Amino acid sequence: MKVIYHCYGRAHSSVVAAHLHLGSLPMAGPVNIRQLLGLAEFDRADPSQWGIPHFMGRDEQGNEVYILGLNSQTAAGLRAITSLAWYLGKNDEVFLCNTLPAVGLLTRLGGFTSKKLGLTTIGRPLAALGIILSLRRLRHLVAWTKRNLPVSKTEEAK
Amino acid sequence: MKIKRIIYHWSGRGPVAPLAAALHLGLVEPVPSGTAARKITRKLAGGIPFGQGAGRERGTLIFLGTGESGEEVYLLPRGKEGKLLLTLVRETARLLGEDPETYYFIDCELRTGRPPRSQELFRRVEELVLAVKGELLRGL
Repeated sequence: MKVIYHCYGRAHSSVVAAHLHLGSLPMAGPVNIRQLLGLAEFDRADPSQWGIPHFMGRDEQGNEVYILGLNSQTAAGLRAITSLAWYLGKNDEVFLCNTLPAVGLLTRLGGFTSKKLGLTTIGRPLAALGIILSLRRLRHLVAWTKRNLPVSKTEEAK
Repeated sequence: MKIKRIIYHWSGRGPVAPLAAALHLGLVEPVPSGTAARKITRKLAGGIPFGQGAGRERGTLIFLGTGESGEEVYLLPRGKEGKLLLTLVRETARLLGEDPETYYFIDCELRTGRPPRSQELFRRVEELVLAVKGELLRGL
């Protein structure tokens, strides 16, 4: 199964969700700004990388975890992915998860300041602070995703 | 042999890509010379799939049929700014184990321009489809 966490620019919420999924960020307990800023993908993606799923790693079940930026074209982008997967007979291989509703205004403001205005020194910590405030929702989302992922055939065979 | 996928994409407004796909698949008979432009428009818009446009389906890949050489013909209403969607389709195909080189994206609006009359549109789309089929034979 390919799990795709998608958001606007694949720079903040999807990155953190993927790290939570993969266990490189804890699913319980505090997370500080420095930890978030230390993530290799946090606040890094630029518009040329939108629409390209970025591989983050494999989880303990063998699922591949990706992050994806869809800009403001979430609905059309999801239709494109699902229709193509359906035609290829692989619609049960993709699990899409929108992380954008889990984050609040502060992350969006930080992202805008950093990516659109180019003021990374202000925007990046602001976005990280917003993520920390939204961490409970992001963790819920990731936990729900993991709970609802179908068991892979290799795991089933075990 | 790998299946080639021809994706005729357009903004979703008007019949240009649906007409190209229909011509490609032989769903539309060539129009006899001298037919009035208005008559062509009505006939085409009413008689081909998504001939009235497909703005609401933006992003959806629509399979229309298989061509003479076994190529699959699709429509993709991509909206005004379609670069992200085209990248997404190509990269999703790669992610799902497909060879993205077998996906041919034909920008129908770019390649036909903005014709003033529907008879002119028909001629330009016919030329476009002939060119695509020629490219397909040569291996694009």
